[in-house]
Amino acid sequence: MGEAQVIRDHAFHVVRRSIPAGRVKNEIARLRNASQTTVEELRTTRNKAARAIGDSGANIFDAQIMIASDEEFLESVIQRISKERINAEYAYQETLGDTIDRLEKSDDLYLRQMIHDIRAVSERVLSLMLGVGQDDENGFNRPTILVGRIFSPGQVMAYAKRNVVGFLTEEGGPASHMGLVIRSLGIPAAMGDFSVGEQLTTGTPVIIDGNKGDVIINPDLETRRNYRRIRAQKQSQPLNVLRQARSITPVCVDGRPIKLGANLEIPGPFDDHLIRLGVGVGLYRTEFLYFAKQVFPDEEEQYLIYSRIAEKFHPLPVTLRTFDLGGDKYSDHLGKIREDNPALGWRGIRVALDATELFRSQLRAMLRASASGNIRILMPMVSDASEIIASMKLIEKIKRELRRSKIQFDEDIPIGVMIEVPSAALSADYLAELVDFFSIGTNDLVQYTMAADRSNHRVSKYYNSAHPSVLKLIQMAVLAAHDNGIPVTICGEMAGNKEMAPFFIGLGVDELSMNPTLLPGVADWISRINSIEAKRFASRVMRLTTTEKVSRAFREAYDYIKQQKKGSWIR
Amino acid sequence: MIEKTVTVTNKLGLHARPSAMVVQTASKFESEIHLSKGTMTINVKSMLGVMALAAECGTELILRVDGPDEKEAVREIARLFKTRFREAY
Repeated sequence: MGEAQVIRDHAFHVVRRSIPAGRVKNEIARLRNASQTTVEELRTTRNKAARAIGDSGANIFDAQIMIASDEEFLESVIQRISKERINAEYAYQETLGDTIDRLEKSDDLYLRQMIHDIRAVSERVLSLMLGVGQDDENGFNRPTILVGRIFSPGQVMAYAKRNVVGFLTEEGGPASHMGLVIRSLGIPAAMGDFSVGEQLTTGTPVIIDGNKGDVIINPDLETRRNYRRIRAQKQSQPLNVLRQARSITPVCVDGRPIKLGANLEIPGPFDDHLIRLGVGVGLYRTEFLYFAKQVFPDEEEQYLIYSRIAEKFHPLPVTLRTFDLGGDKYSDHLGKIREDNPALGWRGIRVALDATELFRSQLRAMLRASASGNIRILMPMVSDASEIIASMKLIEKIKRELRRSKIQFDEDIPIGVMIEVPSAALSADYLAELVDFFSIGTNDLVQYTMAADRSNHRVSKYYNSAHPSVLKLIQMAVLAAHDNGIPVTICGEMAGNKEMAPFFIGLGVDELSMNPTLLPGVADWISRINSIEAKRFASRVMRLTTTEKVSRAFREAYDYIKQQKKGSWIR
Repeated sequence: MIEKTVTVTNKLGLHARPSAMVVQTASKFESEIHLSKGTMTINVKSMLGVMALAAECGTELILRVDGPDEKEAVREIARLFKTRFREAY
């Protein structure tokens, strides 16, 4: 619950004003002050980002610092002020316009991205001179919900300050990179609502219902009172839930243990709590390194990051997924590669096997880091056994090189594949012979099976996690894995869904990997489930024919477990 | 004054990070340092100037350095271009 703060690309109405000769000095001082403040703010943000996501990620702010402190540029703005006798903000915007125009004319989409960096700086400088905007170091004075078209991961990091209680965006979805970062910071959000911007102006009261995903604009007094009560009840902030958890014991009523893992994209805030609770990393999304920096980190840099996390978590496992770039992620944040159908395009392992040098340096970094801890390598977007065979060949070659150079690594490093394309689930019996573990990425598996994009509001109703066909593919993968004696992790959003937990346990899934904030709740939930009964429940669910029937069965099991706490919950 | 042709060889072109590296390197030197692309000439110590070059992969630029430490400056800046600004591609 908070006031909307609409963030627009061009929120400034800069007007040209003539100034008397005596005021020129004053205008120059305003320009200098605003630039200086911006540089100082950026330096602080940079240091904060370095602590949260590492030095390599914080580099994006270096370019902005250099833009803000460009002496040659500021000199030409000052000349304009004194020659034309105009106000500082107008002179600033006009001078900057020349550079932006040149970049806008470039055919190179990647170079055009620099406009975002320039705008990020200029908007701050202009807002300081115009005296608008209040998002200073200390965040906002009142609980604020940020509204915009879409935010980059860097913007989310920069905006997520004190009193930012929600994000509301017109584009993107929970599975986009913006969504992942917002969630990993534990902030409620509603994304992909195409019309929010039109309805909202800065200062409008808004409620985001994080449980239902609803947005209430201009709530009446009673609604506000209700939500205030709900919020008071769940006062516990997500990170606090983890901080306060003394221990977690995900063991079923009948004694069967279920492994839990954490999905991480930003190392830092959760690490120490996870280690204390004995939870390893079930999925580390390495592409975040790329997003934060906008270029691929080299082998050395990756080695440092991977070995640090492996060492920190040792002996707990750390599952590193190779870059899963492409699809929605490319188009949202880079716009570099335009494909008519990015979700079905050049992404994941497909990019890796074409850009082999890049893949090689990542695999080498991972293998070298495996000497420092318990690393597992996971490959995304696999749709055919040949992709695994090619990757394994490459890994074997790198291992030989490392042995020759006497560089240490884990000879038995487990290699796994993501099961997220229906063809991978359908051929899971072949794939299981080739690898050491499976990880089922339910978000993509549902999207590809149902042919529905969840962030597209027109078809999101077709995105059904509980569709019998999805459950069949998951079952196939689990059976094939166990026939070949390899373990299975569920690492999509379904893994943290309490309604689905009995089903997964019943299928025999070995590990559930989820957003860290969900771990204590799911662990407690597992301890109320009897895995023998869950097995009967799963086989009953597998016979159901419609999403509605499956959802009802899940709901009933959920209610039963919730009320009974322990005992029988299968009719 | 020294003049030398440098080529942008990294795949992504002279985007924000390489631009920052070029500016940081140039700023260490006392000499006047300029880059030209066609008819456009910019001061290499200016971040916005270097960004405005919008130099994509394959672009040839003329580097002109004039001053007491011109030799070292040319060497260091040319090396950045040659080593693709430490990018993998």
